Amino acid sequence: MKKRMFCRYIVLAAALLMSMPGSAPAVDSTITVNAVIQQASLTVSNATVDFGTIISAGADTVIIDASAGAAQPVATTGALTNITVAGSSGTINVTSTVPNAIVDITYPASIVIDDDTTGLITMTVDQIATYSTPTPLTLDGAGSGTIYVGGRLSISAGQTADTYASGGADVIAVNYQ
Amino acid sequence: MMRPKNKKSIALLWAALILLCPLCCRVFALTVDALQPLSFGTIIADPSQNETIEIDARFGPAGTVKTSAGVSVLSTPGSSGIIRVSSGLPFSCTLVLPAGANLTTGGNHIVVDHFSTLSMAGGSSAGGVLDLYIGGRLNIQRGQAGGSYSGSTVIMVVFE
Repeated sequence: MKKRMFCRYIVLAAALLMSMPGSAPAVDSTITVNAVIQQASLTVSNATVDFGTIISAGADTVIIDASAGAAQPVATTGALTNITVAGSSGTINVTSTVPNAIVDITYPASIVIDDDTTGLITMTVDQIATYSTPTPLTLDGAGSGTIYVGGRLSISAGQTADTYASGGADVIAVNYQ
Repeated sequence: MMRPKNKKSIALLWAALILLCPLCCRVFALTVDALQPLSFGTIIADPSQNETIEIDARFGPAGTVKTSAGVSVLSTPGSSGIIRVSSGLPFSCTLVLPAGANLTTGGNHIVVDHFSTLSMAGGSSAGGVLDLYIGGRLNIQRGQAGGSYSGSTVIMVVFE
């Protein structure tokens, strides 16, 4: 009887040992992970929009339509207005550290220019967004782009002859989308 | 007083234990070293949208690849991490990889994930050196602050 019991124990022990898988050893390894992130930079130049020299016999508008590229001023009513010295659209050079970046352009609704002599007589340039490079602008593979700035100059009847200019603080904002 | 037949049974039991012991006990002489960090290099981040940068090291050493549609620039290439396992005996092992890791710089952070889908699952060696390559995916958020991000994570090497 006892012999049979011992045999059972042996068989049981053998079965247990056979059923136990080898306990798989495991080792932890700590690995470092790193990355350097640089923020993109964006630089832009200043620009001057020049409507040239205009002789006007009455109220009229002069438009520089630079929506498709560099342009010169054109009088809306040629019979009234003669542009004797051609002006040109403004040019803003945009440079980014990110090739093919897309930038938004925000134009002012209008810019008031005043006469050199008194500073009290004004004209208004408006529709700047309409007649300038459309926003957004996609820069090229070198991260460069050009914004051409135009607009519409409104001349009143009897507009005082003088040189008109803005104060230079009118801002066109350029930023990444 | 133990009877002779019981002595015989005990002897049989010891014999069985001695014979079966090698089946459940294996001795390894091995070392595991993090030989090379997982580095995503230097990236000029697209300021307009989220980006993902991957190192796919499933089949060996690999570099950084941009896998999203943005305009980020990989200005300095990165490289997969390496875990080196050394043993004088033949072995096979698998890696247990983390779900993700958090890299930080100052008060900013960036997440690396997809370790398990972009790293080697394991390997075997006849007795020598086995290099296991570690990859992952870097998730850059729109407006991610610039800086040198760093972190660490634990990878378990399980021997079979």
